[in-house]
Amino acid sequence: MSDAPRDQRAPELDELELELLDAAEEAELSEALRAAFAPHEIDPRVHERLLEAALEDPLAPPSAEELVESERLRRALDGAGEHADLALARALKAAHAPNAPKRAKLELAAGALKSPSRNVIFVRFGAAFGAVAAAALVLLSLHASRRPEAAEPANLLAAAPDLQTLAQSRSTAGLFANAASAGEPSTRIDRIASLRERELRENRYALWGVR
Amino acid sequence: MKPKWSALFACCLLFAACSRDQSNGLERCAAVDAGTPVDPLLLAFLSRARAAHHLADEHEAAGDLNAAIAPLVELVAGPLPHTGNELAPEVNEVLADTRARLADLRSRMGTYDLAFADAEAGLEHATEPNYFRGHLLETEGLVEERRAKSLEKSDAGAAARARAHAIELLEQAMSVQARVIDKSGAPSSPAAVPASSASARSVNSAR
Repeated sequence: MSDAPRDQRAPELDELELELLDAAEEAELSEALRAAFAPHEIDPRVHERLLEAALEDPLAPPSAEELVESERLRRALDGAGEHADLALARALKAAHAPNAPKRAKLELAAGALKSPSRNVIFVRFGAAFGAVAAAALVLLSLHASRRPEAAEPANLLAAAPDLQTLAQSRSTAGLFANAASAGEPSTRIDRIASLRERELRENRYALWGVR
Repeated sequence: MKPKWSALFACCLLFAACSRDQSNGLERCAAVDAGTPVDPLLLAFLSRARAAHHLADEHEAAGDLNAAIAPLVELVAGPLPHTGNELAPEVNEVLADTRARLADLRSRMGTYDLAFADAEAGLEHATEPNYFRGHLLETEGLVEERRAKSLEKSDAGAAARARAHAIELLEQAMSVQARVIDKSGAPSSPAAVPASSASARSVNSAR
């Protein structure tokens, strides 16, 4: 996620070297910040691909490394220690639920936005994720008010599906109507487990309102 | 779009997706866990069963039947997901299938009493005339057949009784599997039905 080596301290916002954005980068940054702050409905197929990419195995327990890293990140977020993903986490939090910006930063960024050359803050990806938060604060401060759907993200969800419409626990005997092709015991449990794994995933998507 | 901006945009989208309604989602998952839809507990059991059978495969392939039995015993004696006081159909069926495999492995080791106990325990999980019940009856018949062979030299009478019992069990297995196939709606092909199957059907239909 970050270019910064693990354990290297993430730079504070004030320490970042801010460079100018070109028009295309400015547009992309604005769109990314707008999407994070006030997400709109995305194509269900795209959403599904994102979820599948993120939840390859929804039932997999966290690995030992993940547990250690999550604890380190939690401590870093509490102000104890550093973590390579700390800046990213803070940037995303700031983009989604920004605090009021400091006046000096607001003036600095507002000045850049008013420039004839359309100079806006350029932030480096990787270790400079914190700067995204700063840009988010500036852009968001210019909004007169939050969009209604952003204020109530629950409205974006589809109505909860009837539980009876979800895949139900049921006999698997129908999978083995032909005893001759039922295969070995491990082949049978493979088929049963694979089918139910898929159905559990479908159920979760339905509950999340993406189906 | 440059890779770094693609990654940032993807992060933002994913973050937005994850934050759409976290608490609501958790409540709904709890609701699902308490009902009959396919739920994580069922999957946990199936995952355990899958691992147990594949472990047994490895040991069986290596010729170590004792080691092959161990994970299967752990599975049937281990925690089971209940819906109220009942087991889900899949759980019953996997337990029945696992008991059938245990019976087969134990009989190959010559421990026939344990093998029959597994077969009978399996039949309690497969009370409907489906593939799993038929497979258990077939396995129990094969166990009895092996026992008959083992008794041939020492006790010819017991061997004959065991062989007769094996035939009875195997005919029951054929009857159950014939009903399974009939229920599936598969087109029948009289010319392709072996004489033994046809006679088995007539025997069982007379019962």
